[in-house]
Amino acid sequence: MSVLAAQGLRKSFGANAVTRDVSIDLGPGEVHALIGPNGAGKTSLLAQLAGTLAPDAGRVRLDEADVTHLPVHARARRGLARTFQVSALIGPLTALQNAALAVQARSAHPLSFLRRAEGDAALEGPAMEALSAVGLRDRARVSADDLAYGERRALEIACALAQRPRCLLLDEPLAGMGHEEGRRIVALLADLKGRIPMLMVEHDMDAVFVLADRVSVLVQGRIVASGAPEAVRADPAVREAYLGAVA
Amino acid sequence: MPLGLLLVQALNGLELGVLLFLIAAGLTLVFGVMDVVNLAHGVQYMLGAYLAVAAATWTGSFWLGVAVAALACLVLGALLERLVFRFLVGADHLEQVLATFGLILLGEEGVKLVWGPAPLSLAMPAALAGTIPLYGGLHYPVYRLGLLGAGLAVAALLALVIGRTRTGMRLRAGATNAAMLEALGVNVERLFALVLAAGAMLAGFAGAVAAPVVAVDPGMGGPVLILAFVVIVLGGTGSIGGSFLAALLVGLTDTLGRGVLDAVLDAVLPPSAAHMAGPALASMLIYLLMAGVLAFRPGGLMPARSRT
Amino acid sequence: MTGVVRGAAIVLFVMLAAAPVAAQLYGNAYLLALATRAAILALAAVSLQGVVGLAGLPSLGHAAFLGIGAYVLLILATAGYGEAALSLPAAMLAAAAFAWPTGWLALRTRGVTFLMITLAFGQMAYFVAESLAAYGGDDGMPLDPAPHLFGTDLLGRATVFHALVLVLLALAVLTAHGVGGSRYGRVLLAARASSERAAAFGFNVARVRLLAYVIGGAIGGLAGWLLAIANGFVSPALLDWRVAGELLVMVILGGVALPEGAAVGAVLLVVAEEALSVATEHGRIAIGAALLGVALLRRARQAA
Repeated sequence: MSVLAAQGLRKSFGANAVTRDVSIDLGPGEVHALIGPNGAGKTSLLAQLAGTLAPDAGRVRLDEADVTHLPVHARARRGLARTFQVSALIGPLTALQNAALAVQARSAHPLSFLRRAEGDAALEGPAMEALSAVGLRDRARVSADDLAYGERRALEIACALAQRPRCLLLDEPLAGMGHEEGRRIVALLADLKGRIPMLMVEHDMDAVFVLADRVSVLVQGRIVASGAPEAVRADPAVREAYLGAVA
Repeated sequence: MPLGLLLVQALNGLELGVLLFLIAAGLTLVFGVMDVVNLAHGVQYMLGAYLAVAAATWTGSFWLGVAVAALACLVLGALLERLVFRFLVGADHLEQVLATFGLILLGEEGVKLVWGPAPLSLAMPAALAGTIPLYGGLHYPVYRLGLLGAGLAVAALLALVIGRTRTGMRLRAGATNAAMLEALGVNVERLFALVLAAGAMLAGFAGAVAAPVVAVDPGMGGPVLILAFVVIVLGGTGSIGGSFLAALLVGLTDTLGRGVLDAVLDAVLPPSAAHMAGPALASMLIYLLMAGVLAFRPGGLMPARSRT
Repeated sequence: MTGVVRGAAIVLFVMLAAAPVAAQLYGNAYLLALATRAAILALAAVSLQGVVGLAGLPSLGHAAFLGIGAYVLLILATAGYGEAALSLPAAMLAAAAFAWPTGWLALRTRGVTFLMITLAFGQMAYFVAESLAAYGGDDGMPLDPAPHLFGTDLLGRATVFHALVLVLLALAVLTAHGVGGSRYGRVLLAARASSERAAAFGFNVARVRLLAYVIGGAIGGLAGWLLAIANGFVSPALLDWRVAGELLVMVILGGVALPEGAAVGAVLLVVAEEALSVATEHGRIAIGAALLGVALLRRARQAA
């Protein structure tokens, strides 16, 4: 019984087919990494799972419910959280306020005209917990624009956590990270492993092989291999596709 | 509807379309390349008309009047870029709205100050003053045909410059990604000055040649500005080809569309209802066209921009 | 900067409140009429600020809501329904009803395209108003008789009406601040910064923005209703795109971020136009130069 499952996804932009009959799933508690060379169509696939891109054909299921035609916000309300490759945070707001917004979205009165947004313990309590989980407790009152790059990536994850999601889509969580910062994020994700199922698009092979229970390889819009990390690493087809990029 | 009348309306529509293109071309380039919303572009058109009247009166020659007006608008455009627009590049669109709205007031009131509020007129050149017989016993003014021809010629020239020259290539590149252009070492400042000056000249030229057939008054830029914006949004901001197509569509819809609509309403509705609904619906046609297209293609007919 | 704008707002509000006294002192009823008109347009500008500043939607079609408010009042009054307690909610509801579908369509676009779509809808409303032959068509029609409030003619009394307008203006500004600081307002802020992120949290951004647009439209309808009473006359000129443009300029002048800024922008512009028109026929040159100057100055400060 998978938490998130896609079946037969197809997507073309004009003559360019970016997703060719892709089926992929995410089981409870597992970390499933999606790797592939540049231009393989990983971003498009993630977008179809998240809801920012409508597939030409195929289905996406969240907890067995068909969400293929649901917009992004509807999927989020059903428990699908995601992080963005290019940090999309609310710049003028502080780290705490960003996370609190995630809590607000799942609260009983998300769009209240009467309740103040600022200083609401019901929102800021869980938000602070999420920040602590990623080690940003001390930076809670810093505005997102002023955070360091690595901190922003951590905040993205904190916001996703604050949504109390059923599953988490991570779009290159380690993109642009230096070695030390990257280790922090990997440790963070390792901590979450088993607690929240995660589907992760990533280039950093070290991180993938540390974190993933399962690895799928996307090449030119098709899944060419899928299985335990060691098996995938040894697969000749995968090596060929990567032309030696795999460690 | 009689074929002759249809033909006249169609020609009027094409003429309006071509004029609109000349005006819209500058507007779409300024927005596409410089990312500046220029509400004062209608004033440019108006100034072209007024300067043509003034120059023609002074020199006694229509042709000299048009030439002087076009050149003056070119210079004015370059000046405006130096004094105002280069500071507006990179500013919030709303701040650009504020600045160019101020320019509108300055322009319209300035014109009133110099020439007074009453409409001026410009006589057609004698050479083009007659009419030629069209289909079905109807006649069409030679001047208007000349206008259509001149407009098409300028449009073709513009297409050539944009499509075949290095500057044109830079303009097209700028319309899709101006930041990249700067990174590639192109002198963006000079390009901007060129865009504004050329756009101003085109709009001024359009005003000058339109002067004999429209009312030359301080408010003439307003409706034209709206139409020009409809054209560039419909065509896809930054796209010259899109503007051309959209301009013709808007011109035809506004003239031919009105005629067709009148005929349809007269046939379908009782006269009192047709009389009441007709003018309102006719005026709405181009907006319905724009809203309709944007509903399916929010980027316009031929979107050029890669950002936003 | 916020402090300056706030200060200016308070000063101008006090001056507006003092207008009836000034009118009495100088024996010039026109002063009061001017102050009332300035206050109503300030209310209209505040309603637009909610749409432009809070929701981040540059609307060039706001005049339509004023016009709808005014025409609903005219139509009801002409039909014999002179009760303000009826026509006021009707005016606001009608404006909201127009805002809903047009806003829904317009919100499928952004930026300059949004600007143009709202202009298009504004123009459509303008043409419809022009075509209403029964209500004066092109020329418009006097509002006769003026509406009564629960049977009284309180609304006909200039000072009482002026006080009502000022109360509504103050309420509008306070409400705008309240909404801005509310959970709803926080979502709008987030949507302005990154609509993708807001959606990813689970907020229906389009619906949230549409609500702001509709509320802004409804209050615009209120302003139009007030303007019709103040002028004693309703004409399509109220729906002209230039009016929409001026309203937008008022909001931008005040600095898009503050509701009281929009009010300040409106009052300054209205008073400046009147004052200059007394002195010279060509006062708009000064106003144009001032607008240009403010924009360039703010740009210079920003770039520094």
